[in-house]
Amino acid sequence: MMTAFDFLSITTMQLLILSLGSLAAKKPLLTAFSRDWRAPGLIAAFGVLFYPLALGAGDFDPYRLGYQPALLLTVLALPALYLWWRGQALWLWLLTIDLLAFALGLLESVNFWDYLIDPLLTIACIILAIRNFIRHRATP
Amino acid sequence: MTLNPHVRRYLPLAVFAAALALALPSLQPLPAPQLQSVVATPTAVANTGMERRFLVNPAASAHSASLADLGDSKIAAAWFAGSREGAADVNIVFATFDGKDWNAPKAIMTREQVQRDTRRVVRKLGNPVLWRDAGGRLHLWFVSVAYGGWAGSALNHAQSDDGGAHWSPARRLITSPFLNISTLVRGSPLPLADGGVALPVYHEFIAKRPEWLRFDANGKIVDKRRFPASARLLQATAAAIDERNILALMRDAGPKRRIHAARSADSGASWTPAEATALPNPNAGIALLRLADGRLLLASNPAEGGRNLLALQVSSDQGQTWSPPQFIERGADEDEYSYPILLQDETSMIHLAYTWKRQTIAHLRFAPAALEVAK
Repeated sequence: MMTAFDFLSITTMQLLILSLGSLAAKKPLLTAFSRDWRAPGLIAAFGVLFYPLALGAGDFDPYRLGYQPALLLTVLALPALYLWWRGQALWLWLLTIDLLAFALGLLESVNFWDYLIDPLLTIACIILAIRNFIRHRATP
Repeated sequence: MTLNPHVRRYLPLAVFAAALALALPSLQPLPAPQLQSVVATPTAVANTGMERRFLVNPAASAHSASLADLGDSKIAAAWFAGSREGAADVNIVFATFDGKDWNAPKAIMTREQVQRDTRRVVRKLGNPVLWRDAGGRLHLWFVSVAYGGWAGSALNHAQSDDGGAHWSPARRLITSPFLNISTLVRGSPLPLADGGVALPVYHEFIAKRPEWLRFDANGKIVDKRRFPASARLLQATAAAIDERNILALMRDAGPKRRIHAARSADSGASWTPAEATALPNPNAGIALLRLADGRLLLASNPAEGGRNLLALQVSSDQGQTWSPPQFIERGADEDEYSYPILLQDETSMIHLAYTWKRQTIAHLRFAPAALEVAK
């Protein structure tokens, strides 16, 4: 269905839409990414570990977990639900839309990881994490 | 429009619950794999001769043959042919053998066609694997490369319901999170009792590693497992010893220059770490087959360097020990007889196909009794 964009994960598409919405509404909708370094830093760190392992750096292939994703979903849903409980619904929304897209088979892939993360998101998060961290340090 | 704060608060939770319900079929635990039943049947074909034929190759270069049994003493072969390995004019070609002769091969997958089918850039094709399922449908897996060398390969699948006369469009299989690169195929699959199939594949980018891909009865990938302790190994070829036990042998791209072996006692759900055997391997493809009489047959280049020797070896103890090599080819140093593939048809005749000097594919047909001679 989404061949033209299926090198992008659903998470990336959601963040892009939210970024465009921020610009259109002239209102920050994604402060966790535009101002904070921790969220992009976490995704960046994960991607830096995930891709080499999935590409053969060791015996363990984390990509395998995405074909039968019950465990992966549990690990992601628990912090997302906790953050929602604390009033931050963004992560639960991101995960929910990813899960819906996976259930509906919107991407060519049948692996849940491909709905969650992609190399472009990892690179963007590395850049955002570094930029926001430098700004954070520079703020008195 | 402003949502009621209560609705706004609980809306994400409600939608999450709905998504969870929708995704529930994909979240069920995967049933343990079980191989299709394997019955040892003594074979009585007494002929000890070997017939050799050369397939007509439609191009200058030929490599990486695969065989499938079509029934009634007929078999099919697929290989890649073009001006040279990796060239843009390489096609996947297909031919059938009627028990007497091979017919003229035809291209069943071209670069342009795969590009159109998958809506992706395709620069080269390679490594077809042909297999007929219990329902008579022919399956073809092969690799395509968009950028770079073979390490950038992606896996594709097509199928034919009429013995290879017509093929479905190629479908890309997603097996890697990084631009779907680096899954290759070479070994024949093992059928599973649930109608699915287990396919030995391998990975080349960053490190070479053999992997085990499981499909369900609908052709959907449901699991991918990496062989433990398998760095610098590739192209596993597997034989089901019984309903639970599998022996996988692997080509060695490392310094040991030995065929490596791994075993599974749970139909491929888990594997022992790969260990070097005493069998030499010059970083070249091998083929393993369980014969109808229960013995194992191995085709390989039994040397640490060069692909000029090609031999068969038999094991009567599930791969613990092997008979001395029965040489099929003994060429000059620069000759290449490589990438063997083995098949035993419904009449118990054994078929061996292999790359012959990169010019064409050679086909040997012989009865199991021909192997006794070598012992």
